[in-house]
Amino acid sequence: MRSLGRSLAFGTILGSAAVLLAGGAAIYLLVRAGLVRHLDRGLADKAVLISSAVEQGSRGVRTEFDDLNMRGFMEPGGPAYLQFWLDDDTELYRSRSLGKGRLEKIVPAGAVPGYRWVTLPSGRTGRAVGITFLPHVDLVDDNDPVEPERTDKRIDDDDAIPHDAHLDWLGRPPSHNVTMVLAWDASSTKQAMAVLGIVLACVGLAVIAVTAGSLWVVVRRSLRPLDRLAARIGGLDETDLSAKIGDDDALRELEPVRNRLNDLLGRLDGAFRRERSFSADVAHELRTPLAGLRSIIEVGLSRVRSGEEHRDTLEGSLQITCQMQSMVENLLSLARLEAGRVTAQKEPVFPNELIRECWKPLRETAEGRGLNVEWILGPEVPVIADSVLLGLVIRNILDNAVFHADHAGSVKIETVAGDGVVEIRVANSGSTLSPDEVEHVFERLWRGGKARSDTGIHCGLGLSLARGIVALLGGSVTARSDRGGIFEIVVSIADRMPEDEDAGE
Amino acid sequence: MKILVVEDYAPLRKSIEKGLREAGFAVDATGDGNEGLWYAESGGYDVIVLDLMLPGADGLTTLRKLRNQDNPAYILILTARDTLEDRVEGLNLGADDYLVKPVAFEELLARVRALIRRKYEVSSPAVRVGDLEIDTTAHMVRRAGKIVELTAREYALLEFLALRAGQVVTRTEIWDHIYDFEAEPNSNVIDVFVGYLRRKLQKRGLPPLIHTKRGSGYVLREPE
Repeated sequence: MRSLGRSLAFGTILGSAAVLLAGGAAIYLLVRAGLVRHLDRGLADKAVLISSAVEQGSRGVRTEFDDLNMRGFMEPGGPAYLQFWLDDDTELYRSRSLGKGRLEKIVPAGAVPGYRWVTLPSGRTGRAVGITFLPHVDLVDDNDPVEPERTDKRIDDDDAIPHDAHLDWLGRPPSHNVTMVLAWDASSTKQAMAVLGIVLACVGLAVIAVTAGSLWVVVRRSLRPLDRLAARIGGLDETDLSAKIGDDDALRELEPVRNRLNDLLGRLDGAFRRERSFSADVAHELRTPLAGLRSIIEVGLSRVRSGEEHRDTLEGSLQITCQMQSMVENLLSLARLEAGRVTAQKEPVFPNELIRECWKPLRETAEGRGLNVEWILGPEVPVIADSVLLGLVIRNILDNAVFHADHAGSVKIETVAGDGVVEIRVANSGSTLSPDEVEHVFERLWRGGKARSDTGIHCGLGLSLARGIVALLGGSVTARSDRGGIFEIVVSIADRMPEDEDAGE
Repeated sequence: MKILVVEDYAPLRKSIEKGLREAGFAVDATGDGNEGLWYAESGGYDVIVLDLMLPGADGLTTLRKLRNQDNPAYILILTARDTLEDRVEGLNLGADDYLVKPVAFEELLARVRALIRRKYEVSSPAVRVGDLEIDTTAHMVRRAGKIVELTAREYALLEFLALRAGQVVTRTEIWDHIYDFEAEPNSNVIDVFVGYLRRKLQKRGLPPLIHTKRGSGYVLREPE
């Protein structure tokens, strides 16, 4: 499983290690380049200085090192080493420090001196510079004749290039290019660079280690609220969802998560509460008629009665039984609908005809209550619905209107076709519902005011069932109540299949 | 004894009303909480059978109001709510008994009678005053060992006087406890019934039990 803390720490450490490595390498290379440049410049200066001590005398090229008596060149082991060659690779001079060793000849390309790391005869690392120059001519002071003898072996203080009488016609000797290699012990520089490298590496490692450690601590500490949040969520009790996840950690990044969770909990709590109260309400709705049934029968049996009295008892019992049956059937339909087990067989249905059909069983009740029924049925336009389900909707709405209308009040049944839908409007007078209450009429088992006083058919299932079915049929249902006590339900159902619109006629 | 039934489900309300009436109680019944409260406040009920889920004022509100007013009626809650919390809440708010629907009518009747005994501080269903014995369960009355046949109204009157034996009972109290709203108010109907009762109880030269307190009412006590 991916760990936020681990990937955060790992990424940060990797990044900082890369930066440190690059920075360290840059510092190392810059310092190294500076040191070498410094070394080279010193070498070059010395080489130029030394080259000035090489002269072209009338008898050949000679050095004046004996005058200089330069320290460092005289003892074996250096730290300075010097060697000269003539053009033809004839060795002109070797410093005493070289002993029997030789320096590698470095022929510079053009005027720029050539530099190279070399291994000195002492076995140590040295930096060497090679220059090629034309010694200056000094014939005047050449008063110290030396036997023409090539000094190809030991070079003494008074060594000299053998005079081979190569004088030109002006009495000048021909110019000889001399290649000089000057090497200097650079082991201390090398050592310093090694030390620098080690120091840089150590600092880098230390920085990475400290960064990693502190990151680990910081990341762990920062992620602790997540653990606590998880613990709180884990500690939630399904029986009490009203407990909110606290915000004592006050971590801004977790705020939206906590808010969403609390929202979800609130919604769940509401749903659970509704579910619990629904069960309680169903129990009440079933218990109450059962209690009535039992009481009627028991009181009826409690003493010797006439046949007529028993008939009353039986009629009362039958009435309650029918009410209970209707309620149980509505409950079952609602449960099936909510479980998604009801499918609509869509076909053209004639709403006006269906309404008249559904009205038949209610006519007697409406007349008994002295209701004035107003019919405003528009032209018969078939709607796309399931005739059984739409019939159930219409029966429930009509029944609701007849039951809730005030005594000798009015019921208006209206159909309006147009704009792709047919509206079925059923209104009744005598409503005492406030606009706030109207929103509840589609809730299961919700009953307002007067409806509360009866149980059975009018237990608040009809309209929620109607809404569920209309939604399944792809229509809509709304309710409204005005100040004049008129309560109206409007069901809108499409008069064609949705895909027909695309396919055309 | 007078009972008020506040129950919104008409078939149940009517059958309870009928059953209680047949058991000799004066009964008023309503299906609305506010109306029930109004009935109860008008007084005289010995027991109120109260449903909790009611249109108008709900049962618990009614109960709380009645208890705040120190209404002397004993209250029996009859409801479909059966949880422990509901029972505890109902009893804690001052109800005297709690029954869950559906309930056997016999049990309801027995509990109403038990509440009446508690209200009049009588422990036994058999009430004795001198040589008068009243079995309040079977509605049987004996005087000196002999059964006295009484009508329901006469029995109710005698029972009320017997439960308050030794105390002066006013005509208003009698009216309040024996007659429900369906009874026609009549100024001397009580005197007439007391007359009937006296005649039936004083047969064979037995000494009078019901004495008239001029200007205030009647008292049932042992003959001196």
